[in-house]
Amino acid sequence: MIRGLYTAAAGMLAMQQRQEVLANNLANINTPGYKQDVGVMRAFPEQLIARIRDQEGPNIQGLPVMSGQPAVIGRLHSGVYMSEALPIFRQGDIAETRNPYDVALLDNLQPDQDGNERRLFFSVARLDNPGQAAQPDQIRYTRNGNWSVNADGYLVTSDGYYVLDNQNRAIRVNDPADPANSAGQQLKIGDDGALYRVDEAGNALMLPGGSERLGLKVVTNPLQLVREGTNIYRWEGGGQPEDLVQALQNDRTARALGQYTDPAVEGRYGLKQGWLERANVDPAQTMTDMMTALRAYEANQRVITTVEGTLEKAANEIGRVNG
Amino acid sequence: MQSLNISSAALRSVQQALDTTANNLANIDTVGFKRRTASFSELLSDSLNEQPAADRQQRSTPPGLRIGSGARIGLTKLDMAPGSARITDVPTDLMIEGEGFFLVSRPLYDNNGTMVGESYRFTRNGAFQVRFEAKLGAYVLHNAAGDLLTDTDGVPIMINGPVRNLQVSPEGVVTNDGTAVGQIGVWKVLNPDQLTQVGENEYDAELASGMTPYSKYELSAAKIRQGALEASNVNLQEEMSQLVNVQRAYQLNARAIAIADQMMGIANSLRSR
Repeated sequence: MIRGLYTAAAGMLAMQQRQEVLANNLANINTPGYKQDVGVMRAFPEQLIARIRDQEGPNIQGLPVMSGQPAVIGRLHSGVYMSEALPIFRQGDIAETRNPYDVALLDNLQPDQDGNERRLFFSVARLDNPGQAAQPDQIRYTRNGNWSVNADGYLVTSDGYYVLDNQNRAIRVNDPADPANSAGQQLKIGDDGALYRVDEAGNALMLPGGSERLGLKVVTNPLQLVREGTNIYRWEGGGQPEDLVQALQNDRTARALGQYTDPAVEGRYGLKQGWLERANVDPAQTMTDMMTALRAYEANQRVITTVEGTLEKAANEIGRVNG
Repeated sequence: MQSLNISSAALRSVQQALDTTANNLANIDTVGFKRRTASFSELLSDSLNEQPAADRQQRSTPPGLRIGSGARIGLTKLDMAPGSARITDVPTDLMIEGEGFFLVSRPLYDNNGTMVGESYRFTRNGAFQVRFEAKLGAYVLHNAAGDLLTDTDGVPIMINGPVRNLQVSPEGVVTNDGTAVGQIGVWKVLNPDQLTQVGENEYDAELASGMTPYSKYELSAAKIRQGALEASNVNLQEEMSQLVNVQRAYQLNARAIAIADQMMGIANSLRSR
């Protein structure tokens, strides 16, 4: 009936969703490896509006003027909606925990040759049989390095996903049947992702499952990741994310072949055992955005009340006989 | 309003983190206490897919709008860092220098006083006392919970005759008046996070009665220090900064609830005239 009513209602709904995204960012302010979302607002598809039964008629050169035909006024967007929640993959700050099963991921990978953002992730998977390597469709990605060891001795995330090594196998830290060859608290993770254990004499030894390196994956254009919740992302872009070692090798090869001459292309990254990457949520910014969302919500409500006032006039005052 | 659920889930988890911090602070002077650290985890995301088809183009992320639904406590990990040594010079105060636990056993008796079994627990608390155990006919070392310190075979250490000049070597060999009476076992636990905390500063060793500890655990190479106790590994500064962190997180989420409430009020006042 009156367009402004629906436009303002759409505005209220969009602001409500924006508030939900901000509330979720605040809720996860202490979640390790959490990446904040930013709501993206988009106008409804624009439509042409026309005056119907126009007395003047459309004035098209070379044609006679016909009255009573619709005449185009112009374009109008009739509202707004939240089209997507963009995760911001900026590095979070790191905090020391001194726990051997906590790993912070630090990356400063350069954009690829086409200028796409590249980010480093741990690969994890839910497996029925942890003895078998994960299939590509089972692999998920996370930045949360807050892990523990389950009763069977495998490295798992707090939601029960197995942490994978560079051959997509679950990482076995302890073998309950063979405590002498288990890592226990002596699991070591090198700053390049190497996995080993040290014995009492300080010798570096292999883990019982034979895993040698964490499965670090380079995700090019991480916006193609789908947030599944529980700190887990699923890859929905083309191909599969590259293995870190392979990605770095490709960069070096491209530079050696002269395909890419920027010497800064080689990625830099590091792991810190006993540390955690914190959420990259800025509470002050989030609070301010929330206040903005609230006031925009209120303004839209004011528009609705105004339109309603107009309608009231139409309904109750026009056509009143004895005024 | 999903926003209310998101923020109240977060408040609940922050409350649990506060509980963990409070328990650490309460046990700051408990001998052999190991602190826990609470860490958060994200909840599942909602995905809305009812979006205009025109929106499929010109977007940076895969189709759909995904909004998370809050946070929860993911893990409360045991921090096995050693505590500092507190010298007491009491001969029955023992401290493990390195990785491992004392295994203590609690004999279970039926109404007639016959032993029907034992329950085994691990502890880092080395404050033991000597008492005469009439049922065993010998002197034993027991802790505050009344559980008996065991040797490398999981059998309580028994001392015959008067207890005089009790000595414990770094390897755990107990000598009473020059005579060796047993060797204290220090057991290595691969994954202390899997142990069930049973209170009284003890963890359930999950050994059935009569089961030898060798079937599940191995001896640790850690040394025993006599006349010292291990202080808790709670760090006051760290806990206080965690407290500040938790309190501010609570306030921020409470503020988010207030804003959601205000928005609902605004929606309600649409029909106020």
